Amino acid sequence: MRQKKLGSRLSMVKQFINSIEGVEEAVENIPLVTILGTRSVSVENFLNIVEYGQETIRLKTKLGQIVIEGKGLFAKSMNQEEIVIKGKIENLSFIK
Amino acid sequence: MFVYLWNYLRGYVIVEISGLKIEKFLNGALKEGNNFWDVRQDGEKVTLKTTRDGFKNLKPMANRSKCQVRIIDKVGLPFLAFRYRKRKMLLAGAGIFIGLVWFLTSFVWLVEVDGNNLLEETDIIATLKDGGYTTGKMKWDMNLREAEQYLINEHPEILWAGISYQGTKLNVQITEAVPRPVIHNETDATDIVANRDGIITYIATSKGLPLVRKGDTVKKGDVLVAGAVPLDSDIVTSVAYVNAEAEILAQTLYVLEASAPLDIAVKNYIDSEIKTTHSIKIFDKQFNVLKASAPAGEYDTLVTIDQFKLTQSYPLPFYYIKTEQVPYTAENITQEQSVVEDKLEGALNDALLEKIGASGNIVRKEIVYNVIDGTVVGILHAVVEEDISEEVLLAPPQQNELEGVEVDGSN
Repeated sequence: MRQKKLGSRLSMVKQFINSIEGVEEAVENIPLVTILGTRSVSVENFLNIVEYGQETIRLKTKLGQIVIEGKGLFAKSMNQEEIVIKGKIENLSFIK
Repeated sequence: MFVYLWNYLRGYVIVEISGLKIEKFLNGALKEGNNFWDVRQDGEKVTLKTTRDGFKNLKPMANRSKCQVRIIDKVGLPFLAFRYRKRKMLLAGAGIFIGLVWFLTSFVWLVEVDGNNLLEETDIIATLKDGGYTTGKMKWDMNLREAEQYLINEHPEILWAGISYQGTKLNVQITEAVPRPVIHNETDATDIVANRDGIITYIATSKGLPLVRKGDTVKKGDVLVAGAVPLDSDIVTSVAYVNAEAEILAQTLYVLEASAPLDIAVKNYIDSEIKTTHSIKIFDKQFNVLKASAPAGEYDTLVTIDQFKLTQSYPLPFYYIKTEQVPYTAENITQEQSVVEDKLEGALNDALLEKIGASGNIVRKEIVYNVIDGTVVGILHAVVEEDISEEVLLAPPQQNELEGVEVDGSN
């Protein structure tokens, strides 16, 4: 009974958070991917790096892996919250 | 750009990491709050840039992930300072340099004037120089508000002046007053007189007594409309003084003369024999770097002055002066008479238009050319319709005349 009440409250909070733009990814740690043309991808809220190479970069996130494929990829900047990848980007996919 | 500058000031290390578990190393290092940039993978190695403090954390992480860390380069100001820490004179030199730049930029090295239409820029600069506001003066020795007031006092034509520093420039902004119009007092008694000889073609009087009519020939100074209007009636016999007002047009004649010689001297410049002297001017001292001897014969001198500038706002008291002496051979050539006539016609027409102003209307004109002793003389005859009226203040009525004004009611 009490568990159910707590659950419904949590979903209410979630609903409220979803209704505010830009807060969702910060609170829930959902990855935010920004693609600028074909030369720059920035990924926020990633958990760690699975693979790092010139052709493929795999990032682990809460929702699975993000795979960035291309040529001459490199990280323009990198810290715990955000990675900015530059190079010739050819493909970006999500793997559960 | 700014990120690069910031990183350079803080100093950064270019590191090469090699090993099998590079991803593990990167994840671990990121978890500890490290910042990496320009992370490039090449085969088994990854090169990256990180901060000086961040680099110290890498060693234990590398041990855990069984990677090797190698420093490729240390870049930035802190490393540079460390390298040159024992070279005291270098530091002193840098200090003196910065001090010198600061010292030199605390002077005014250029005065610029903006907003002048009627006044000459050189006049304003000369006036400011007389007041002590000129190049070579320290900025903190000058009170700009006093300078503005001084400039306004010296030049009554200046309505407002704003003086400010822009780097080592003294920016002078001025607003000139529009010339005060002549104010006619409508209550003053005036006559309208002719200011040129002519034949009246149109006259419409709204106030005053017209003394001429259409077709009359008038001479300069003749009264066209009188301001003294005699009143002659059964009740009153006197003179009323009014401000005469009328629109009068007259045909007038203009005769203008201009002359120009057929022969003119032409300078043929010899470009191959230009002698150029390069000199440097520092403050008021001028040094010749490369001095050329003056060319033989006659020559014209061409001087080009370039002022050195740190930026557009920071001119410095150093000048590069190029003096070119261009020799020439003088030659007399005889022009076609028609060419000279064309020039004279243009000059005569310009002179006529300037004389008659915007209100005049040219009715007829003709130009006669004569050649006298190698000189073309052009005489322009023009008939112009223009306003020849001019208001002249009437002498105030004499006392006895005033006394004469009385109501003659006894009869």
